[in-house]
Amino acid sequence: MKRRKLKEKIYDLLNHKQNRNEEEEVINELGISGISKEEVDSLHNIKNNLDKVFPGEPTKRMDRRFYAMLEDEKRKLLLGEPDFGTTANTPRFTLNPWISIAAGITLFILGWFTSAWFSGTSNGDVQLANLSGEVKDLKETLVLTMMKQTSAVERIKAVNMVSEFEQANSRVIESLLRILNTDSNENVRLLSLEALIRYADNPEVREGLIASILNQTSPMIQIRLAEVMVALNEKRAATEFQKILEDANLNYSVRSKMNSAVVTLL
Amino acid sequence: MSMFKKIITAVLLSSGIIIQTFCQSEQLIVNLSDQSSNRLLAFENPKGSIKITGYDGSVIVVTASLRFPETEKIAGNGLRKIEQNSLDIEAEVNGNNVTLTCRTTGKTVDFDIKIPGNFSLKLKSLDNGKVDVINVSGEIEIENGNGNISLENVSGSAILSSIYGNINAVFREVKHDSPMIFTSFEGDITITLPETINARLKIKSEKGEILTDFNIKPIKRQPVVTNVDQSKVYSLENWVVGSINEGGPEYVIKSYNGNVTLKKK
Repeated sequence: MKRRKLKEKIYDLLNHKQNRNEEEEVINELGISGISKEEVDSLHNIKNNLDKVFPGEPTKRMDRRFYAMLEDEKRKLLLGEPDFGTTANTPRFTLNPWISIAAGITLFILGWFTSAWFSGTSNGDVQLANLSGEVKDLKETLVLTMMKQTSAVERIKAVNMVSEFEQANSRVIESLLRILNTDSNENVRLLSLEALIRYADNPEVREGLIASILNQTSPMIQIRLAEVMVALNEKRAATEFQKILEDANLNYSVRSKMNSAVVTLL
Repeated sequence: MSMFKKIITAVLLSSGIIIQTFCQSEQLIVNLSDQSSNRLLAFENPKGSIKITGYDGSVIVVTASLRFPETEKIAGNGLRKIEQNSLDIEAEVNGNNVTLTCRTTGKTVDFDIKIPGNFSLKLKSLDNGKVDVINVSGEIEIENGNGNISLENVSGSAILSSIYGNINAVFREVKHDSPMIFTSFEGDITITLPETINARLKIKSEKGEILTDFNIKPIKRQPVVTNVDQSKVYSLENWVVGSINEGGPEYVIKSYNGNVTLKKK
């Protein structure tokens, strides 16, 4: 009930049929319902414009012309007369609606990309980050494949490539540890150890290095492991070194290095 | 045959015929079906030396000899003891890979092998021998724990390691993108390289000296440091690093007790 009243009041408001107090009251009520004064003003403007567009009742002359045109159209339809007149003056493009939709979508996408292009670096950075991520993945896959090659030169190249990585993930570390423990060439094993040392902060690497101590027979690798374990203060390695020291044929230099490592660590 | 796999087996047995001099050496000729440049000879000698010489021919000629010839022994009662000398050598050709196997164990057998000049090598002497390679071009991979390794007039790349032996390598040319490593625990390492090579060097001798006539530009490197217990930081980097000419593939040379010498050819 109240709502209908309000509607009527709005109509009155737009036609200026109220006094100032009433007008303000209505505008306040509209404000409570969520319609601001600006909106009411814009409605005013629309009404004023509409009033200008329709300048009152149509004249008799207009009526005659309208009916004459209507008759004309009826006649054309009946006789099947081609519609030359209108097409010649106002050419019409009749497009398949699907094409129009497709064109719309294309424009939208084009607009999207253009705005992305101009809207600064943040999107570009994301794309660049994605791209460099992909390159990194590719490189990593390449390294892992090269590590399995029969040619020692290729395996060395792969191990050297790891040093270009800022961080090595567990797949790469696993492969380096596998080389350290099982590669057929002592030099490749040594290089793999050098590469792993760079990631000695990683617990996985430390565990792997400690576990590899007993696998090593090359004095060069044994000594390097002793140096590394002392530098890392890795007490767990001491017992592994003690096991190696039981070997009576152990190289003299390795023996003295491991002895001092055990003393330092324990 | 579905696979081009050919096995040539040469077994020499001096039989029960009484002969004054026992046959002390055996020759094996390996025909190569593949004449491409990408060929590899792999050989692990259980005991004895390996000498490989590159030549212009197209077959591999393997000569194996006992280092300590057996002589006729008198067992007493007018009977002679017949030594059952046997050299059991086998070459297996699989595509462009040739694998040579010596099954004679206990005796020292030295191998003298002539090979087409363009060949990669993967050699290992497990005991009592030296390894020499002359006039060969390819990837050369040698491990000889107890003896010396010597390369003469070779080209390509090399990965050499010894524990008690010296390493001496003279390169005619090097492959521009191949890394190389030379390590000996107790022995000296002497590498001779063409003056114009581009390489990045990583050298270390724990107890010995490093000598060179190359102009090596030192490279500043980010030290490898490790944070222990968030309080102490240790450096694990102890290599001498530098570049020759423009820098290039990495050459690692490391001895523990020996000297390292790097010379211009």
